[in-house]
Amino acid sequence: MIRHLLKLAWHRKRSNALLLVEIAASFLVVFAVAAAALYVGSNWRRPLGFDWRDTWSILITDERMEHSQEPENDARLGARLLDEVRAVPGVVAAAGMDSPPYVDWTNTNNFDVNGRTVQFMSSGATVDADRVLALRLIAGRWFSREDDAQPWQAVVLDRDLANEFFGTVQCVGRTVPGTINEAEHEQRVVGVIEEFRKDGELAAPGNFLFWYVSGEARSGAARTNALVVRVPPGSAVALEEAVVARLRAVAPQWSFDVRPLDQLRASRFRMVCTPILVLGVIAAFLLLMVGLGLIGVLWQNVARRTRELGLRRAMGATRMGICRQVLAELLLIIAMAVFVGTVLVVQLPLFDVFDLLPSTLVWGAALLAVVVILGIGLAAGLYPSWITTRIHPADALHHD
Amino acid sequence: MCSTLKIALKVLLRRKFFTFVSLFAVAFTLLVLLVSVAMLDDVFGPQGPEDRPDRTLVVLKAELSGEHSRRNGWAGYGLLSRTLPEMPGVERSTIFAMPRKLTTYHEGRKITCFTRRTDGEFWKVFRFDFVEGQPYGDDAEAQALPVAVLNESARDRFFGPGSAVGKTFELDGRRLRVVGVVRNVPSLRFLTFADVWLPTSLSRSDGYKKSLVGDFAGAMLLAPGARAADVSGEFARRVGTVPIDDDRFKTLSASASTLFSAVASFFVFEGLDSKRPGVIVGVLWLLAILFMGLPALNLVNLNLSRILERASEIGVRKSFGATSGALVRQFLVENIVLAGLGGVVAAVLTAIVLAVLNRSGLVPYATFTLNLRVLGWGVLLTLVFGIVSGVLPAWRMSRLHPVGALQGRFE
Repeated sequence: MIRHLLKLAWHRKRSNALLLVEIAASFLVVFAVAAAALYVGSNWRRPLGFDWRDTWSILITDERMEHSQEPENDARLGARLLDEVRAVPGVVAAAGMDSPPYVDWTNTNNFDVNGRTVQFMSSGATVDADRVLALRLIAGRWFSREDDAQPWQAVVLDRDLANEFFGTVQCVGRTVPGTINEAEHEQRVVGVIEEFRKDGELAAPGNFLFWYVSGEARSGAARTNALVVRVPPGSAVALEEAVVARLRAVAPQWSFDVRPLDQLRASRFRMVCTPILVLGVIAAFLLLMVGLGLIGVLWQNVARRTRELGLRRAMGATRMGICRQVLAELLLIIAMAVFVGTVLVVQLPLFDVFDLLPSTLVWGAALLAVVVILGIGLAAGLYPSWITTRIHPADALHHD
Repeated sequence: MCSTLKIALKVLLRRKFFTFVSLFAVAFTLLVLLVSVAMLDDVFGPQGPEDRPDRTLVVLKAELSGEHSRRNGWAGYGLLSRTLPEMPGVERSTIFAMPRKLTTYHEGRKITCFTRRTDGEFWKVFRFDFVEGQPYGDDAEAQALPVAVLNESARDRFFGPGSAVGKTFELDGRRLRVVGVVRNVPSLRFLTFADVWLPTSLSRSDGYKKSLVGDFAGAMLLAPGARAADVSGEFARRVGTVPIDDDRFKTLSASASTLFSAVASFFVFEGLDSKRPGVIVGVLWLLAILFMGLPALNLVNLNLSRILERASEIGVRKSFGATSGALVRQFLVENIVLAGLGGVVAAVLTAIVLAVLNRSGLVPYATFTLNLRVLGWGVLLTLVFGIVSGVLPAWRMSRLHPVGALQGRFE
């Protein structure tokens, strides 16, 4: 049967080849959208590592832009800002942090560990940042005042980075294999937290490191770029206003921008989801168009072959048999197109370009694309193949 | 030609389902392309305050580089103030900051404003549409007067509708007096867009004055007849003379070009110089053609499968001496007529989609419009699509053998 179908398909190879290319191209479109959606979906299911509810980040900007000329001064001022915020009635906890969650800027570092390059994001943080963001410790402790007097700088790793550096999360007391920010001191692990994903639920998983900012000028990090503040649920704008007024009174030369994390999170979601949604809608229309076009092509093909199919009916083929033949021919073309598309697509993990895309995801997206394309192809084939059942052998043989 | 058009319309009316499918494909494809073109036009087209893009050169980015360190970003005030003034061939020039988000608390509400610091010349290089009042001048910049220009949206949020000139408001801890209100500028116009504009010198410290890389940009309005190449050459020469007082860095680079080239150079890979916007235009065309690929293929397949319908007609025409060329032309015209109809549908749909986009607030203050420029592009794209999707079927039809065609054989 299949050999016979192949022969039939081969006879009309020129028009079938174009059809095949069209279906393969549709397959690639579905694959791209499915891969993007699956990628975001798989990120969504991973643990986040912090609590964004009822938390603000307060970004501090200094209009001088350049690095500060008076690091000691800035550091003292940074520490005073924190004291001021903590003193505002209604503030639950406050801490300093260079790159708060969901904020655009990040600090990326690369270390060579045993011949591999380990990439991670890092941020300075002060005491209490764990309380503000509800970070979950799995080993050791968060920064505390006792780290001030040490001859080394304290750092906290997240689970992923601890595993990358040491192969275990039980690494408290060990020295980080490299230095961050050209620090003069060695950097020693005091604690390990659960996976921490600064850029939120939809971002790629990554490694994270916090280094200790004490409020004294040291290691170039005079003050943090931002504060994070935990407030009671349902806090009014009045609290924001009170906090900003207090901050301005202490440091009139800086400007302060309060951004509640839930708002930053929502705008991140919009930024990630809008393009995928737009692509999805465009892809859906493309597929509808391809489906309609396929109906047209199959309809014409069936009409063109009335004589051939009529002859088969006259020779005793059943209606269902003919219907099945038409659908099987269609399936054959779709199968070949899907095969071509899959062969192209599975090359992706082989190239390192998309090391973001794990191979399970590629296979998942390919599978989804196969299902969608098969569905569309069969749906498009239903009407034309049904027409064949109405071919009357006598009419067909007359047909000219 | 007239008869060709008549045949084309007749053919279209003959099989309604096929016409519908083809029109759907064409209209949808052109819709997506037209919406993209309208968005590009909104960013780069000559409209709003930037009504003379071909006479305006901008300096956006600057880079300091040394052996071990590199710093790049928007241009710094120090770089621009040393290079832009008294440039030959330039009528006016301005230095202005990129907008920053500032928040303020006004009567128990939180108001977030994009704030842009500018000099007085800014208002002459770019021509804003003032609803009331007027811009501040260079004296405001020289004396650091606490004045501001608002857009309508900011005015409504601070004062509600009605006159606002002369009123004062607080922003980021400073009290400012409103001197003018302008119509909203779309946020995609990143050279001019803001909610609040105020003098640069109203800064908390004057540290910005020295920086070579910072958060400023410059724009020069060429004098009539001046050549852009001369001005950007002179600018490059001046950049070379700016002293660098940081020993980590050896060279300073920045260039003056049209907005489109400057933005194009953000996207084009490093090493390609920004003076060749042709590259990015090529990339855009490539994307458009790639996107047209699937719909075109769809249409090609549909048309190829319909050769049978036309076989007897082709046979007759061929036996009466029609050349292949004439037939190709006829079928191409038919396809272009179809694409044209689809283009009209697409234009109507585009207008609707753009209106919805403008209303949705997805892009603040968007004013996507289907203007003549966009429509012109639409016509061009329609033609391209009509030809791309029509050539192969037309050629195949024209090659039918007359005898076979008359008998209904066509393979």
